[in-house]
Amino acid sequence: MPKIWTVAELTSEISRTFNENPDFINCWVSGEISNYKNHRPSGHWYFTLKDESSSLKAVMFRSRAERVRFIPQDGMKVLVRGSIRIYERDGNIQIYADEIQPSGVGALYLAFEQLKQRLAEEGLFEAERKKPIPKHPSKIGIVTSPTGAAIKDILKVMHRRNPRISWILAPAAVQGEQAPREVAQAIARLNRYDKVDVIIVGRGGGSIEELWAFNTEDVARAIAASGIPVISAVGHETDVTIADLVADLRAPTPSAAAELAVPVLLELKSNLEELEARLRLTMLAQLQRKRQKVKSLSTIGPLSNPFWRIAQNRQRLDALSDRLEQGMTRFVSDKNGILKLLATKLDLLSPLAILGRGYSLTYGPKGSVLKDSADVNVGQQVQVRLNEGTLTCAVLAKASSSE
Amino acid sequence: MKAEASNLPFEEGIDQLERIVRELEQKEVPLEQALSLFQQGIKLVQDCNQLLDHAEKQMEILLENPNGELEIRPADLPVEG
Repeated sequence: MPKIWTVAELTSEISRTFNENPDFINCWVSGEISNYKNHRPSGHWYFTLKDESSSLKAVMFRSRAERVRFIPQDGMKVLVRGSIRIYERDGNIQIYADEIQPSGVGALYLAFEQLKQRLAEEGLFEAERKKPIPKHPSKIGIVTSPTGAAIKDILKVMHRRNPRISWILAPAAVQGEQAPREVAQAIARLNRYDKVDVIIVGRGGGSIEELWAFNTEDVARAIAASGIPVISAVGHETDVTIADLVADLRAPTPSAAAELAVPVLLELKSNLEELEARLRLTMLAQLQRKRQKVKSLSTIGPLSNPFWRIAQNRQRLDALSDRLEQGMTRFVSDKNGILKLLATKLDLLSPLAILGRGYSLTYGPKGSVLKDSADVNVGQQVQVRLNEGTLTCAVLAKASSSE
Repeated sequence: MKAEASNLPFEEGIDQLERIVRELEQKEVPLEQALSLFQQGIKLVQDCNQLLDHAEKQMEILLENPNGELEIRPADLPVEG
């Protein structure tokens, strides 16, 4: 009597066989991705791995998928590491993927290129976005590992350039799984602190794996979101990371970043001295110009002889007084003429002048001029005045003019 | 960014000083104004020198406590140089 399985028993048995076969655990499979689906909201990836003749279902749970640094695409040739199991409900054979890498190009390179392209499309690398690095920072923010080579280099260079420069370190792991998040958080923390003028973000040189945090989206977005200018300083001169592309300024090394961030104290002092000298010189020039102007004004116009107005007035006064004198003189002499004329007229009226023409005046006994014969008696004496001399006469007879 | 509360940050001080020097260099300014600019300039030179010579050097570590508050500690890293 053959054994009759239930479906569940059979798939469970197959499953057990699969699980016990060490070749199926943690094995590598190469193939091409098709039907890739990032399931929302679970975040698990489902796809099919296939080649010319066969296909194999694949699943990658979110916890694993999150570590993959590129986005799978249909048609992409990949290497998948995982375990082969039966999905008992459907009876399907599946690979539960732990790791996935593009075959051919390196996974990291691909991830780098993809992120770079995406951020470039968003405009995160645009020159207009870049904030100027302050020329005279008073405090420097640093994001790096407190135990790495970078912090030593940075502090050494900063101290050499300006022993008094203040700094604050926001420590962050710069490699390993926590690095992207820690670096991003440290940048954000310095922004909350807000008392630094510039932030240096970086680490010393290393393999592309070791530098990886600086090629992650977390770090790129934290740099882009920083209100404080960021100088990136990752690895050696030849390593250009995404962080370098987003940063406001890229320094080839941590030491170089410190050089770019911190001005030399002695130079600051000599700049200040130069400014002071220029200030004093230009002030002198200003005064000189004004003095010159006063001088040139003083040689012309009223200022050259401040008494010119008085002199003018005096002259005017003289002229006026001359005219007054002339006027008076004329007035007076005019009056003289009139007086002479009047005197002549007066002369003509004088009784004495009439005497010259042969008339005479007769004065009565009382001494008044006689005008009526009735005012004198016969026998009385009268005085007759001639033009020349007088006569004493006796009245011999009288007659009235009416008789 | 914010240096000593009462003082102008060095960067701004230098900027203002440069503006004043340029203004005096580039055009003739009425005497009163020139004197006032000059006085401001000299004051800025003194302030900036003061900032350079007497800046209190701070070496700190910026952390975040579990409540999400910023925590500042003096740095005890092997000294520079």
